[in-house]
Amino acid sequence: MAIKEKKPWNRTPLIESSVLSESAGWYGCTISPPPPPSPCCLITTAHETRLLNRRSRVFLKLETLQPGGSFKSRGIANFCLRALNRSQHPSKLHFYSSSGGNAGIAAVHAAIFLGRPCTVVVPMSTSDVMVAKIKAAGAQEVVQFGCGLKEAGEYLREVVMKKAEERGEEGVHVMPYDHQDIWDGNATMIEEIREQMIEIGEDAPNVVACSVGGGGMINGILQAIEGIEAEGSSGWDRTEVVALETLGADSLAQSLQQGEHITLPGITSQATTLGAVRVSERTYELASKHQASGRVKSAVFTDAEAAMGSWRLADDERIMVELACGVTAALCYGGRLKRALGRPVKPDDKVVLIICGGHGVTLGMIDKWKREFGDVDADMKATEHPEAVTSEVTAHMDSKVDVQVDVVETELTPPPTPPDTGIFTQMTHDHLENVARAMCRPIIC
Amino acid sequence: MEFTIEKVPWITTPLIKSNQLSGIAGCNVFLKLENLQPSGSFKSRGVGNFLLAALRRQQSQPSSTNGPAAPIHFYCSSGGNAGLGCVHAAVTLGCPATIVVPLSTKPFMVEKLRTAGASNVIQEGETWAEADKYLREVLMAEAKQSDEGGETAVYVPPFDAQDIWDGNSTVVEEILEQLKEAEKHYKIAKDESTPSAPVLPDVIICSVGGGGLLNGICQGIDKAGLSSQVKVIAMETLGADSLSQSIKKKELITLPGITSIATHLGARRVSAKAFENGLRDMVVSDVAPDAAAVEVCRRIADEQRLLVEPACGVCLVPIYDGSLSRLVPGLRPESNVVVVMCGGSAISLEILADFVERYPYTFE
Repeated sequence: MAIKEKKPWNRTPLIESSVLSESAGWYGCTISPPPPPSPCCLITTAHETRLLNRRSRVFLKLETLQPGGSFKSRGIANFCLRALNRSQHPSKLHFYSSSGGNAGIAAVHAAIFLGRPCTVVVPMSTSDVMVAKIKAAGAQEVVQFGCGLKEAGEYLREVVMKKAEERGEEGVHVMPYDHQDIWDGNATMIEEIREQMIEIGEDAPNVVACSVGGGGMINGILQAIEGIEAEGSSGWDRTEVVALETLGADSLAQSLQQGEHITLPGITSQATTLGAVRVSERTYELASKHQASGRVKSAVFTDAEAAMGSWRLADDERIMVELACGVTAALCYGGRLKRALGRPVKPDDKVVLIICGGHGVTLGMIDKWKREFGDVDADMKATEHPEAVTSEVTAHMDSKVDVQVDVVETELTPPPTPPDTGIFTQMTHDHLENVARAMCRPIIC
Repeated sequence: MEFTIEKVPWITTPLIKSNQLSGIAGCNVFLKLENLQPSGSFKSRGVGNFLLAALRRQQSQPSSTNGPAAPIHFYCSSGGNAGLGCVHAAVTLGCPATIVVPLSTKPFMVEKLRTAGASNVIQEGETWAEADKYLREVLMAEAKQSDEGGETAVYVPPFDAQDIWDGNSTVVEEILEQLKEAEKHYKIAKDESTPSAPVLPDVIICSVGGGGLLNGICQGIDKAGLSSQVKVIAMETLGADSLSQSIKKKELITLPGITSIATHLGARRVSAKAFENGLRDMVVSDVAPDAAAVEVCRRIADEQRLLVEPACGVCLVPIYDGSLSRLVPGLRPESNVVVVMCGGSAISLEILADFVERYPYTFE
């Protein structure tokens, strides 16, 4: 079948960012900065000086340009492709997704590639803008049901897909992140990066940085790196992977800290697309193994820092990303890369940031983040630890932020003890309302 | 300093279909994302190719009795995207590049030129013309006379050279290849009577400053043999509309000045080649006010999550204001419109916010 040879995702650009390279290297580099321009004339430092002061290089893998707007196109499209190839009756296949966000859009695009229909069931809380986007992408139908992801998922499986079976269709529920086919698709990102580095005359990157929600992306990344090592290729054995999360959606970091695979009581970060209370089993397994060997470094930044990463990336590279992706960009500012790696940034470091993409951002939001978190590092001068300023800084975050929810596994039940940080200062029976206000839409049950 | 010429200073950029814009236009609308070129704009192609061609010419020349030719040092007088294109290409190809910019060039653009790796960034003159004059008559003259440098000084024009148009024309080759693949990734409206017909462009829209991009696009379309099938909409902003005015007067004119905020379209006189192309049946010229271009930038930020300059935004105005059907009559739902998003680095959140406040506009 011709479809087997074609890839349902794009080979995305790997672009070098001189601005982020300069910023990421500045704080950590052990070389001295170039001398300032002479006050007598406007001639700048000579080219030769700059060559001597080689700086670390930052590259951006632009997953935001996938057909579905995020890296999810890889994994989800691969999942759908394999399902189609395995099917006895491919012409009866109908894909179903219960994500109101990036995974849903990725599923629709994958289905179109494969020439099959896709129906998306989303919670009532999904914004009209997002519903319109899913329809415009070519969904067969968008059904709104349920207070949250759980109810939407149940309705999808127990009602919508059952009806489809009765009609003689073969329904396939598209998993958002916890499946080997998804990780295999996400792994292709590393294969491309490998080729693209070779194309520019470089070998393996020293650092690959990515955000972690449910862990589908990092599973693919680590799996691919292990595969390259197994081939005996040199270079990638020294590659470090920085796993980034936001405070309040840091299920992986907490699991690693506690030495066991834990489930968060709830999500208190506004980076809702990282909102998995529990990472996949495979993520915990891979991350703890590779953390022990020193390959994986876990880093947690506040929502304020993620917001800073988002608006700075917009100003510096003219690309707008949601908070879930901004947390990765934040690594390049304020010496965070050095802190995350636990070592100085070297002049010959090559850092690849996975710009994972996502639809949950508008110009208004970026503007707001810039105004509210205009200089996050100024706030942090008093302390070494970002967490120490969380409660003060995030308390300023206006709860009416139009964030599109792609909640992978949010438990909408009150946690046993109210968290001291973040925008939720009391977790009572008003918890649901707080979450709704943060998501800027009414909860209709 | 060694240089290599196996490297190519531009990349194959993505061609994406925009569902929002397709819905508004009522046909298939694609965006060619030249904003992702290494230098931030399509200039990586044209200016990049100019540098590449100069290096190749030098390499192919037999060594003179004095030994091999002195390595090339590139000089450019653009404080904008052409300057950045020159610097990025020079750094990629391993050559030094000196940029002379007018005093009016914004500090953050000067900083970008330095960060990109310019050997020198010199500010001289009130206008681009004065900066350019200083570059050619003073700086390069000195470089050519000097024995110490042992370099061959090469002037890089911003848009008026065949090598630049050759580089820019590569965008058309890519568009044609990528349109063939488009059906695999996007829902494409097609004529139901010929479902397996190839996806070809019916309209290509681009911005016009000096006309280097327009020339490259026309050349690429001619080379593909599609001149009778494709219309090229050449967009300018009011106050930087040298091409449009030349076409109306049927003579190549020079504007007295540039009054548009889209300063990167600010060539008072387009190249003769662009004027020639502008008179062809294949090309339709149109002009939009600054405010419309700014409103496009605001909407594209929300819809595509990309920040572009008004010089780039202007080429989407026909889609947002519905003038597309007037400019190219006979478009159908299955028509394919490709907008070359030329890119550009002179935009930031602050600049856009300022423009939006000063130039409010709503598309009807």
